[in-house]
Amino acid sequence: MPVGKLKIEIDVAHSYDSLMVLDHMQFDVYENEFFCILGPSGCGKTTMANLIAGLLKPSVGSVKLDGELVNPQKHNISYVFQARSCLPWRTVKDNVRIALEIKGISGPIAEEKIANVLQIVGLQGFADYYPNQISGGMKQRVAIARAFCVEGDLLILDEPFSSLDAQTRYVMQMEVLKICEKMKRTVIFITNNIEESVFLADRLIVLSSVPARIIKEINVKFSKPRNVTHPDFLQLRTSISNLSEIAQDAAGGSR
Amino acid sequence: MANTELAGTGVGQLNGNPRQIVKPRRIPRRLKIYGYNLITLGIFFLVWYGIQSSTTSSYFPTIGGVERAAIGLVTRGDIQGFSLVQHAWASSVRVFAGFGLALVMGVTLGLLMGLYPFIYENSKVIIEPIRFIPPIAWIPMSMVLLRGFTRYVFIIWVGAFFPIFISVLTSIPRVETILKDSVKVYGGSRWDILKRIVIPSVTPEILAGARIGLGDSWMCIVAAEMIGGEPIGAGRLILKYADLLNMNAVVVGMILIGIIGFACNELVLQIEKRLFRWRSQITL
Repeated sequence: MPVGKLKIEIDVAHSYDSLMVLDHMQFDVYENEFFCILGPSGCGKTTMANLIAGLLKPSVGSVKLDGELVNPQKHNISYVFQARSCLPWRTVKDNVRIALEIKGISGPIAEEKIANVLQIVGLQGFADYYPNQISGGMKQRVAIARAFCVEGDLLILDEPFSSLDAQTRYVMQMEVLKICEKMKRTVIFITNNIEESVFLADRLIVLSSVPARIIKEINVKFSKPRNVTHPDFLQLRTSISNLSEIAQDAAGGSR
Repeated sequence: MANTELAGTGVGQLNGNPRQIVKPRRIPRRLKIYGYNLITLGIFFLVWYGIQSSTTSSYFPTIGGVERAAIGLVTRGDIQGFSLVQHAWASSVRVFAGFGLALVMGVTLGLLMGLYPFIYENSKVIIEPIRFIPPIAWIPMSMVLLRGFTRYVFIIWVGAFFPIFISVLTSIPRVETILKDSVKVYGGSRWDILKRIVIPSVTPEILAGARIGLGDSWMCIVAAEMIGGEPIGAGRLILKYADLLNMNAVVVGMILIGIIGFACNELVLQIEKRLFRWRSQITL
């Protein structure tokens, strides 16, 4: 069930040279919804994320944000990368600030935003530390803080927690939920972890392995925060898991 | 009875009290380094003394001879009356002129060709062979075409330019794409990416290249002053006394160059350390 108006229209197929990575993918994302893209590793999820963010031009088709072709210089897009994206020569505070600098926001307003967002992610005590002095989880929190300090049209998170340990991952999932609760955003969250997607998403799509297709679109109706041990939760999780296996088998023949 | 209690606890016990772990008194690391360096110096002098005692050549520079020559050069200056300070100064001015020019040109051209690789790719046939011509090979050309100060500067420039240029050139493709994308996705222009990502990323490598270039410059000073017209300069000093077969004074000249080069290198290293605190934990 769509929540509010249409925000992003995606209708693309993409290849790198002769390798088709994304088979025709067509879906929409609505305003303020938490949308998950779930797929196995290497299925082209990051390519999808880059296409949505406007960092990459699709071979075929287009991505439209609010009816126009997506353009990072025009639209306010925030992106949390899978790998560490902290600038090593800047402190935590300055790393967050760079997003504001590019958008042309400076002065006391900027300082306030930075302080606010660092508070939300729990890094207020580490504002003057350098990335090499903080842990992996904290580095990702810096990236998240940076993503949230800009008033955005869209927030994309590309497997942001996959390189963190399990406990940090659970904590971060709760934090993302908390932040999104506080600051309404249209979120596209990419992951290969079924539990994570069922835990976080309002709506999710399941992708096959490369060349990626949408196997199924699922609405998750449970209220948040969700109980991962609840039978309904587990049932949904299992059904998605079965889907993926079928898809793997189907794709297995073509590899 | 006590044994069964203690077994498997893994704690050292002495009369039932946990043993206090006494930390050995630590000598500060810096002092250790100076200490070891002094020992190395001592070994060096021992070896020198050993060789000078066993050699039959009457030209071999002895520790005492070098000392006397050094004192003489400091108090009375060389045979033409120029002092060590004048020599050092003259050489330094030449090196810094040549090095400075090489730094500016190396960084500029390195950045340009790094950002627009097609320029480099298409001019490789000229750049690469020239890069491998050693500064000394340029001496005949510089003697014929250049005069005075420019001769020195040119030879030194040849020594310093290429390390810096190549350093910058090769560091640009190594800038992590994810960092560039971080700026791009927030709407950064090419200029934003250059200013905020590329330049801070390559600055450590520019400095490293500069340090190597500076070292190379000092190594060219003798070659440069061999052909230069003026009677002052550390390289010239060496050649003056070499002509007279006064090896002790030659060694003094060599040491002079070595010390100045070492000092320059240390200076740049310290600048690097302060500037790039973000690279690693400071332990000293």
